[in-house]
Amino acid sequence: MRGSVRWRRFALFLVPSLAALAVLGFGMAEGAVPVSFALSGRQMQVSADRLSGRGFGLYPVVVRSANGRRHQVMMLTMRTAEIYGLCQSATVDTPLGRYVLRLSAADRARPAPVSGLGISATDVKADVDFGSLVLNEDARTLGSAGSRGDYGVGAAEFTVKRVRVHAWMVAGGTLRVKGLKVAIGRDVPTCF
Amino acid sequence: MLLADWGRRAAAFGEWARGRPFAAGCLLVASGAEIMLMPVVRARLVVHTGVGGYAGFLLGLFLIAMGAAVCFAVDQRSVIAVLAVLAALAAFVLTNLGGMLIGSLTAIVGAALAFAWTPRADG
Repeated sequence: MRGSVRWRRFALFLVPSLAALAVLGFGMAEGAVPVSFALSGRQMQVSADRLSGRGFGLYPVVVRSANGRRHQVMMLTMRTAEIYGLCQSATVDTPLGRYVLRLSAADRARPAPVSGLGISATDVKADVDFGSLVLNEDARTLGSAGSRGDYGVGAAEFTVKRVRVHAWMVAGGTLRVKGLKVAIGRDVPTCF
Repeated sequence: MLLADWGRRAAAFGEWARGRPFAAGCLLVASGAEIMLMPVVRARLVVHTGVGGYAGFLLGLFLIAMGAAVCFAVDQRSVIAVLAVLAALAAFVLTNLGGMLIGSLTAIVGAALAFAWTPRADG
């Protein structure tokens, strides 16, 4: 038995599939569909103009790298937050050279709501304003990844301005961005 | 002799491949691998990656299985194509834009090829 591809049938299937993909892509850009990212294992930059919300936690965690070495990072968690002027960029080494992949909110005045966000960061720069701040809260009570007896910072409410974070990963949350811009290229600027 | 044997095997494989939507299967397997491996390849750290990581692994594995299935269960190609497209769309939302679009697009093209493949009675 032999066979061949019938190209009209091919188009009949391809067009609605691509249309569905386009609808999802459009929905994401409009903020109707939450996007989930798991860009793991690569240092990336995350920045925002302003970030405010509830349920902030900061505690140390240890992550293990592929070669067995352990790295100390900070885990930043927030239960719910609104982000203004979000930007995330990572450099990717490809066979064609070093590329910058950048995701950013097109409209800096419109907030992007997030929930259940966890960021593991190596350094953080920001102007902060905490409400109901607790220093030296037990890390275990702030999150399941924290170990009992570790130092932690907790706050019921927080507002952070001009955030600059070097992060290993951002995970476990939902993010809705209206007008998400995705750019990849050699001359795309990083977030900071 | 070895070369002749190899040539005969290649011809037999070609015959086998022409009897099924082989290109479609290859594209589906490639897309699944891309979606599954994108967060892993060249990673400096193995970290817990949350829902996106697990979804990428599962959907990638599913697409690879669909790619194999379309080669070995040729009669089921229409159903497999629909399932593969649904997985590709789910991957687009759940995992790094479906391997930065590449994986999802490859899977959709592969599924369309599988759907459009038709056996010829005369061949």
